[in-house]
Amino acid sequence: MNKPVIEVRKLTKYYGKHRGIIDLNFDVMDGEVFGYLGPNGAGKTTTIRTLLDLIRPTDGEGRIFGKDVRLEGEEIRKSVGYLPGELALFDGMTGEDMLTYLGNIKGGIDWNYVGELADRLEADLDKDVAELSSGNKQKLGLIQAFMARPRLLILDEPTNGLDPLMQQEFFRLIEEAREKGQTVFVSSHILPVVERICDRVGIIRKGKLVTVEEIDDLKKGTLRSLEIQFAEHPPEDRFKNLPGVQEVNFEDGRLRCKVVGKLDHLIKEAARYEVENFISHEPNLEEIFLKYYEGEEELEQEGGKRNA
Amino acid sequence: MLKNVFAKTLRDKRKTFAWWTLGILLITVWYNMMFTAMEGDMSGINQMMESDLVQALLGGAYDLSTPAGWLSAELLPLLGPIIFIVFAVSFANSSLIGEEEKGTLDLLLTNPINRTSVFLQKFFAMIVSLLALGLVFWAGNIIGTSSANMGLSMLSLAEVTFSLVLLGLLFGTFTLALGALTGKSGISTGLASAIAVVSYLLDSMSKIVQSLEKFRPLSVFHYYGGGEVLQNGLDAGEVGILVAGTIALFAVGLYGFQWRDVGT
Repeated sequence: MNKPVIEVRKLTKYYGKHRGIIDLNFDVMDGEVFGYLGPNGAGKTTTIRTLLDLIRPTDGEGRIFGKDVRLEGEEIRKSVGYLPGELALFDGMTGEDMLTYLGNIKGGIDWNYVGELADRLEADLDKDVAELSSGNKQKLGLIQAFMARPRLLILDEPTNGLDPLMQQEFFRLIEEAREKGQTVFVSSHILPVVERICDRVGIIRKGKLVTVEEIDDLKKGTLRSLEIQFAEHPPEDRFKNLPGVQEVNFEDGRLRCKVVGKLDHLIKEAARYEVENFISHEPNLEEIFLKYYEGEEELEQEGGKRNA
Repeated sequence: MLKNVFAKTLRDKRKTFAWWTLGILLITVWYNMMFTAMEGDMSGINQMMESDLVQALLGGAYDLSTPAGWLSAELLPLLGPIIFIVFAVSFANSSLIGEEEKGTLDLLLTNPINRTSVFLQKFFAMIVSLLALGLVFWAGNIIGTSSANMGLSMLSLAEVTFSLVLLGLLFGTFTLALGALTGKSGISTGLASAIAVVSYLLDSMSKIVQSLEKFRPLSVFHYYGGGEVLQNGLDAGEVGILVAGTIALFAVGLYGFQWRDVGT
């Protein structure tokens, strides 16, 4: 975990006048699973496609394994497995044909491992890829990314189209990659996916990197929406001043609130009364971003005032 | 057939190629067989050939009662170029920009392979396909002309087929290069088609309209011999210009492809 595998410095990409990414700076360390989180259109795919030299930066640079992505791309890509966010597969061939073709170009493939991956993901390799559902296409995409056991995996929205069972299998693949010391860069707009598999997370919004933090710190700062149904209406005041508990409101014995960090205080207080139901909503991306957005918008406003 | 980009590009075209083979054999054999059928009564058609309009559209007057004249009337000035240009342009378009627009170029270029190699392999796949198409065209003409006892030499037929392959290759390379440069198949195929049509019209009109004469060298068709090759053999200068044009376009495309954002 000591040296960086990906180094991004002042990386900027404009498509004409349209914003792609602006002045990105971050490192992904050797052997870590790094989450790249942001809503659709934030610039995740632009970052990835720049690192893979499909598109060229307007400014700044990216390095992988210490090599410049522009100048030494071919050398870098020998050790990179990539799953595109918008996966398009070759026409007129079966899954097996496609993997054979890509395997031949990559070289040095352990075909037993490819077979094992296909079994685990329950991929249908005999069908023409054009006939596959999006989930089954995604499985082929994952297999070709993992097939060469690359030192670095770059996965753009890997859980797209996967059913919950296959998502679990995918999580296991990532765990194994971590155990083997592979580095994983995974983009997603789904917070629970990133929380589940990543060590650190970079959050991107409107082309700018908002923060990079440990996943545990991110969880501490996450606003969680909770609902507790009590058998009888408890005294409201007892819940209003608990640490980390916000936006408390009661209705017919049902408490709705938001909690930052540990649930301990709320749970212990609630346990004094008869609890009929307890619902914890997955924190959504918008909520977790709120914290960063609010800060940023205040800054933007301040900036505006200063200018005025 | 899945060993590399070159082989896979040819593999992608195997069904299309089978249909083109069938079509070309039908056209060439049928066209030449018509010579025997028409041989008895050429005077009417020859008279029609003397009209300026017909000469302009077909690119000159030919004596249809001779085998070389018969081939030079329609197959060589019009049908042949259409076949080779359309095949080459569509091949070039689908093999590179087609892949980019579908999104599969991402999957390819993110492997340890560079853009030069991809462009070269696509280009050579196009050359091989065009040569194979030339073989079919040549074979069809040999079958057709010998069935009709037209007595044309296999060598002259090979020479004229070769100039068709070069013509197709030039337009194919233009499409490939422009596609590699812009990433837009509409621009590359549209412009290639437009240039082909304008070139053809300019070349054939300039043969009868004096004031257009001086613009003739601007037409690509000027350097494709057609019927003249059948009668006089290949002209080294014309072949040289078609090849030089192809090489120049190839270089432009290869260079442009290096610097561009792919798939945006």
